[in-house]
Amino acid sequence: MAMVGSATGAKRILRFHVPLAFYAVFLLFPFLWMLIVSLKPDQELLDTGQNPFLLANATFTHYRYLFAETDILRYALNTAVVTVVATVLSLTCSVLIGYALGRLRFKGGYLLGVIIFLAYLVPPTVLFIPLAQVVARFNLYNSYWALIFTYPTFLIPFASWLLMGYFRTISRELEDAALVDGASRWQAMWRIILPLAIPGILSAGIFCFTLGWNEFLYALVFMGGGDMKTIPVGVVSDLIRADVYQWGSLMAAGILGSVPVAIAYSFFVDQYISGLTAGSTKG
Amino acid sequence: MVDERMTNPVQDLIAEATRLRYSRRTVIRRAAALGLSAPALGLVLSGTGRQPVAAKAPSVQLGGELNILAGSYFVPEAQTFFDQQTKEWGDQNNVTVSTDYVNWPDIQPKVASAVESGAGPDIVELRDTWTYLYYEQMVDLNDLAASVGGAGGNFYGWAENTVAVDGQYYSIPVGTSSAAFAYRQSYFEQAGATEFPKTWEELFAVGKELKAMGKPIGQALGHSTGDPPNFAYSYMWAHGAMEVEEDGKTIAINKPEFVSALETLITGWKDAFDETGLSWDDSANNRAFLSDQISATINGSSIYIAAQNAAAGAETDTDYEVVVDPADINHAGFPEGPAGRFNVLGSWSYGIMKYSENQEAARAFLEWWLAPEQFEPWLEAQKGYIIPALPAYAENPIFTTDPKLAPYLDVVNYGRNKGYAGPANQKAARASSEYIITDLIAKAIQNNDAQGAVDEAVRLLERVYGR
Repeated sequence: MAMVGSATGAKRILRFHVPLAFYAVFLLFPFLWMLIVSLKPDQELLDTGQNPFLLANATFTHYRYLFAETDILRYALNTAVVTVVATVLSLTCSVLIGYALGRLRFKGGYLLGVIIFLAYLVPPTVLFIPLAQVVARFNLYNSYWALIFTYPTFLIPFASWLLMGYFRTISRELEDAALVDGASRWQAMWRIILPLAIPGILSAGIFCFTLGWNEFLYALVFMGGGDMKTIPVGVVSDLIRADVYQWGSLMAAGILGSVPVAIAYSFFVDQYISGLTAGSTKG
Repeated sequence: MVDERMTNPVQDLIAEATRLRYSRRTVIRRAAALGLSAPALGLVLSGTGRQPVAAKAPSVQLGGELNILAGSYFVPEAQTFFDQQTKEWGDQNNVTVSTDYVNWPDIQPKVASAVESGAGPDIVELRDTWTYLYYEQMVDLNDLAASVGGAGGNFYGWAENTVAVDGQYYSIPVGTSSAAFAYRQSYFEQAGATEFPKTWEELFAVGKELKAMGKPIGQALGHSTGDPPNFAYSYMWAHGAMEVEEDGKTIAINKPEFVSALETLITGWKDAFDETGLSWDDSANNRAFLSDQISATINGSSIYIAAQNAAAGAETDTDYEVVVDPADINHAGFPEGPAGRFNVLGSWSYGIMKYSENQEAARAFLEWWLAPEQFEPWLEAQKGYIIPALPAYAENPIFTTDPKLAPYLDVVNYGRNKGYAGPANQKAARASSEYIITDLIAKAIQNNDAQGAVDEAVRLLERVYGR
C-alpha cells in the first residue's frame, strides 16, 4: 500500500507540482526581475561582471527618486479614477448587452454578438485619430471624461462577449420558472440570473480593470497634459530621457503600479477562475 | 526721423529699402548680409517704418493659457530652466503657460491626434522633417523666421532644409542633438589605433582587433529613430548611393559600389561588431557602452554626459565604482567612404497650431524665447547636447570648452538631411518613418545578401517616390 501511495505521490509531483512550479517561475520571473532591478544601484545595474540575480547593495534610491522627482501619487490617483469609473460603466453596459445576446432569442442576435467581438479586434492605433475628433468635439481633452468615455470602446466589446458566454451557461429553466411565477423580464434578470452570474461579472470586471489600468495610447493622446497623466504615461514621460532609460525607477514604478491589479486579482481569484472557465468553455 | 547716432550702413540700408520698397523680411535679410548688429537692425526697421524685432516681452496685453508640447529633455536641468523661462514670460504677460514633456517616440502620436482633432497644444516641438507632414495645420511664421535667422547669421542649410516647406517657414528651427562615434580610447590604443580610424574600412579592421579583445564595436540596427538611421544613411551616402537623385524622383540606391560596400559590411559585422546589434534600439548601445561590453558606438553625447554624472555620483558614495571612466571616453566624427564623409542632420523646431485660440500669445512667446537673451542661456543649459541651428551660437564656450564634444558640433559641416540628394520633403519623411534604409542594411547583414537587400529597398523606395 505504501508503495502504491508513494508511486501515486510521485506521479502527482511529476504531473502536477513540477509543471506548476515551472509555470509559477515562468510567470513570476518578470516581477522578480523588476524587483531586483528596482533595488539595485545604477553602478551594479551596469556591472555585467556580477551575477544579475544577486543584490550586493540593495537601495531604495530608485523608489525615493520616483516619489521625489515624479508625480507618481497623482498619476496613481488619475489612473484609479479613470479605471474604476470606466470599469463600472463598461460592466453595466456589458451586463445588459451580454444578457440580451446570451438569454434572449431574436433575429440577428448571434451576428450582433460576433460584430461586437470584432469591434474589440480593431486596434487602438487605428481608432485613436477618429476618437480624438470626438473627444475634441465634446471638449473633453485633458479631463478624466476623455478616458472614461473612450475606454469602454475596447472594454465593452470584450466584457460583453465574455458575459454573453457566461449567461448562456445558466439554466434557462430557472428564468422560465421565474417568468411563470409572475416575475417581469427585468426581475428575472435582476433577482435570478445576475446573482448566479457574479463569478462571470467579476472576471469581466477584473479584465476591464487590468486593461484600463495598463492602457497607454489613449491616455497619452487624450489626457496626458500637466499632472493629468496616468501611471503608464507619467513614468515613461518622466523616466525616459532621450536614449537614457532610468531602469531602476522605471522598474520601481512597474512594481508599485502592479500592486492594485494584484490586489484585485487576489480578492476575487476563485470567482475569477470560475467565471472565466464557465464563460469560455461552455459558452 | 532717423537717429543721429546711426552709422552709414544703417542710413544706406534705409535708403535702399525705401527706394526698392523692401518687405520687412527682406530688410532683415539684407541687414544680416551686411553684418548689422541687432540694435542697428532695429534702427533700420524703425527708419523704414517697420516693426522692430522684439527681444523683450511685448507691451501688448496678453492673457489666457498657453500649452506647449515638447520631448522630455535629456539634461533635466535644462528642462527646469525652460520651465523657469516659461513662468517668467507668463508672469510678465499674464499668460498661464504649461509644458507637457513626453517620451520622444510619443511626440508624433500626440501631434497627429491634435492635428486631426483640431485641439491640443498651442505650440509643438517638431523633429526633423515633420513640418512637411503638418504644415497645412500650422501658422505661417516667415516673419519670425526672418527676424530670428537674420539676427543669428541665417540658419544652417541643414536646418532650413528640414523646416522650411518650399521656402516657407511654419516652424522655427532651434538645433538638434547630433551623432558622433563615442569610443574607449584605451581599447583603441590596445588595438593599435592611436587615433580614431578615418575610413569605414579602417574602422572594420580595428574593430576586428577589438572584437578579438572581447570589446567589439556596437551598432543599433533596430527600429528606432536615432542611432540606426544615423549609421545606415551615412554609410549609404559614403559609398555613393542615395534614396533619390537631386531631382527627388530618380531612385539612386542600386549602385555597384554600394553593393560592394554592403558586402564589406556583412563581413565586417561578423568580424568587428557585436552581432546582437541587429535588434538594438537607441538605448541598447548606451547600456552596452556604459556597462563596458563594447568599445565604440554611434551616439549623441548622452553616453559621455551619463558617464560624467555616474562618476560624480560615485565620488559621493564610495560603495560604488564607475564601470566606465569618462576620462577614457572620446568622440570622433564619422569615417569617410569613397564618396566622402556624411552624417544625418535635421533640426528640431517649434511651431504654432492653426487651431490655437491664443496664437497671439504663442507668437509672442516664441519671439521672446528665441531672442538671444533667452535662447543662448537655454542652449548653455543643454551642456552641449543640442547643437544650434544658427552659426552665431556655435561660438558659445559650451561648444568649445570641452574639446571632446567638438565632433558633435563638427557635424554641421558634413551633415545631410534625410532624402539627400533630393529635398527633405514629405516623401523623405515617409521613407525615413518606414525605416527603408535602416532595414536595407539590417537585412543585408541578416540574410547575407547585399544585392537582394538593395533590390528590396528599390521596390519600397519606388512605392514612396513613384517610378
